[in-house]
Amino acid sequence: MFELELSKIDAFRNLVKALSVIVEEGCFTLGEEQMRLLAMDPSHVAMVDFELPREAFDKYLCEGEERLSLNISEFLKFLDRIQRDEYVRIWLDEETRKLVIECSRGGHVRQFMMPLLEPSEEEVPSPKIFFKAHARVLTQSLRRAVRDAALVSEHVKVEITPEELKISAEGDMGSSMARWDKTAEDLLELKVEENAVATFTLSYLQDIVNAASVSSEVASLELSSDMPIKLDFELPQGRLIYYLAPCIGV
Amino acid sequence: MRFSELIDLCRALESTTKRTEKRRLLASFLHRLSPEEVPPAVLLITGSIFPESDDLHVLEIGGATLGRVLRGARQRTLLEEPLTIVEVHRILKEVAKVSGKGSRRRKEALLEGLFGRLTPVEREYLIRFIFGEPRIGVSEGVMLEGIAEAAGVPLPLVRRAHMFTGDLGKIAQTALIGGEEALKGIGITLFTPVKPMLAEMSYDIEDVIRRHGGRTALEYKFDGARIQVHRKGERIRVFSRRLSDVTSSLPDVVEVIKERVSAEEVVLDGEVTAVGEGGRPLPFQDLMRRFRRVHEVEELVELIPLRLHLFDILYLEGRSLIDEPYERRWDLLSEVCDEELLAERIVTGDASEAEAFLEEAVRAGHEGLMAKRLDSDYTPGRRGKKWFKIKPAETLDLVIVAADWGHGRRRGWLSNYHLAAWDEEEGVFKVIGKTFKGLTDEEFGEMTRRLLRLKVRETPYTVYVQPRVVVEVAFNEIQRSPHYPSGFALRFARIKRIREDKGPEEADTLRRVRELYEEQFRYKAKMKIDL
Repeated sequence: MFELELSKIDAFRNLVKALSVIVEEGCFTLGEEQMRLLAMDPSHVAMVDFELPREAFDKYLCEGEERLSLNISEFLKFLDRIQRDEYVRIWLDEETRKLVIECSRGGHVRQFMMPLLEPSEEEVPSPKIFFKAHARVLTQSLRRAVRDAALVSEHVKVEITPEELKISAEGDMGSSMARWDKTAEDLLELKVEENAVATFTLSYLQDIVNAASVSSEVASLELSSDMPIKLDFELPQGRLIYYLAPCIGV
Repeated sequence: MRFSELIDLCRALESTTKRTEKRRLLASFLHRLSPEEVPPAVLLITGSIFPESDDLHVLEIGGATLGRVLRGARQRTLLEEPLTIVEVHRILKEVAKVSGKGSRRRKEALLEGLFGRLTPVEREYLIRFIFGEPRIGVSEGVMLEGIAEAAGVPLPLVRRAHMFTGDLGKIAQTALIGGEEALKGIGITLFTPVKPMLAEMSYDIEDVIRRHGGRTALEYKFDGARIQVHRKGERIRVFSRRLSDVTSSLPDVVEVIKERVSAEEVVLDGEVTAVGEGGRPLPFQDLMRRFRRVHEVEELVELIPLRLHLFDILYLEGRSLIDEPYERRWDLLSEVCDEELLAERIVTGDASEAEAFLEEAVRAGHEGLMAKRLDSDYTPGRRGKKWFKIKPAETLDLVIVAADWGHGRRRGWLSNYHLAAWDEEEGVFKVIGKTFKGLTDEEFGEMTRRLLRLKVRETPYTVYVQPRVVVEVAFNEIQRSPHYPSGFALRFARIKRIREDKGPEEADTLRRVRELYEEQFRYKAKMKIDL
């Protein structure tokens, strides 16, 4: 059995939105202490590692372990219908094996039911990468730099050296550059074993940063040259980490 | 199995022209596949990606999109293990599913991830698959032979199964797992739609009458959508030409069947048209709105009423009729349904009567006529000479941009004209065909003098002229052409008249040509190639 309750939908909805950037259909693993989703996008370019502990909900109940495969964008459509002042209950109807989403205010109740999908057999392994450089930066500041880059290119270069974090892009229409000196206020930490530089497709990176920045104020970037980047968006409770594979030969 | 092994097979298939060798290669390859790998492999090899009956997935990848994907950097992936056949197919399916806001970027991202994992040779073949032109010399026919050999079943049985389902992947899987017995189980059964019989195109009524043995049945060719109705008592399902269930979008059609078809168990072949003011058919686009509508159907039923036209019957009270002659089927059809549902029809051997009927059809807003051989059986999914569709020829106003000197009787005249349409995007005239047909000797002489006055340069064979002269050109078909930079070529072009009243700026544009080309395909699944 599985059931959760939320007095405000916003934070949870924002997180689901952040997952929908990577996966259309996702399989949540519901444990007694937390819900988890580890998923790779179909082209294997990006991956998300998400966890939310029971404390993040007003009520969270799960007996044993449940695997819940959902069409996440459909799920989101239902969540989008919930008003800010409505109380939310979500549970699994054992008989129909459908997910029930209920919102209420006073004596007025609205309910949605959505079917589950066949859970996929695919095992998602965590990438094992040794990162050589690490930067911790304010999410809003990171978001601005990525949006700047999107004005001029479809790719963005991320560089970390002992002196700075730099995000730059070049295109036919011009170029953009954002730099955080190690003294910059928005840069909270800079740890570098080795200079690292890699290029990423903005179509993924921008969606990720946009969606995650709503839920998280601080992001950790971990980088090695021409290797996947790890973006750890710090949450008040839980975990929201993305991995994104680089582009070579831009 | 790895995708690279499929590519190895394709290279082997491409390098031999021997049919027996191709068959052997296919058979031994199919043998090595696991059941779930069979459909995607077969579909990729034959360049269809998704089965014909699959309306939900259409791979719309433009040349421009693919160009951007390939020009861009090599996208790496998180797991660098080799791609499998199933995975490649799954990603393409994912691409086909993408829709809505930001879909272009999303598609490109998926494709970048996919192409990033392939070698240059694998990329090349995948592009061919995506464009539906694998060019490895494996036609449907060869594939059917390969399937028969791999499964050790008689070829006619595989062919027959293909006629009924039209899904090569599924047939291969059925044959390999279930063998002969399973294939035999595929036939005409209620509520399993079969592919509709198709017709060849003709513009020559006399020729059609001759080919049909002096007499033929002519029916209106409706400018609508083909449907197949399956009924058992109160249960009625309506299927589209591509075999998807469209019942819920067409409650009015279901109602008509209930009320005006007397048979209890029946499969009917027909066409629905959208009816506008004065009973005239509405354009195809409006009709398609009805077909796509799933929610709030009622509102559209009022807005776009449909008319059902029936012209064939494939199954009646427990018995398949597809081997019965057309005439017999028509008689049975007229017994079970109201006369007003029957397609307008005459049986004639007289060409002038037929011409008049064609004109009547066109004036009533329909496309033309169908000519059906009286003794013909019903061959699902086949395009043959038992049925012809007859259309009035189409015309375009084109500009002469060059002309070749004639040979033989036409020596001394500029007689082979290069016909061009205006490309608005590039601001140039682009040739889409040549013709030396249609002008009288007198007109040849006059045209030659006129073109020489407009000459801008010449080679020993060809005179290039200023684009001034507009001619009305009749043609039978527009084809894709790798030969002309315009990308199109007219089939059987002939000059109908010289448009003295039109200047080159009033001639038809390449966009119009493209539209006409698209119209030819509106019933077919087609990939958008905007190279």
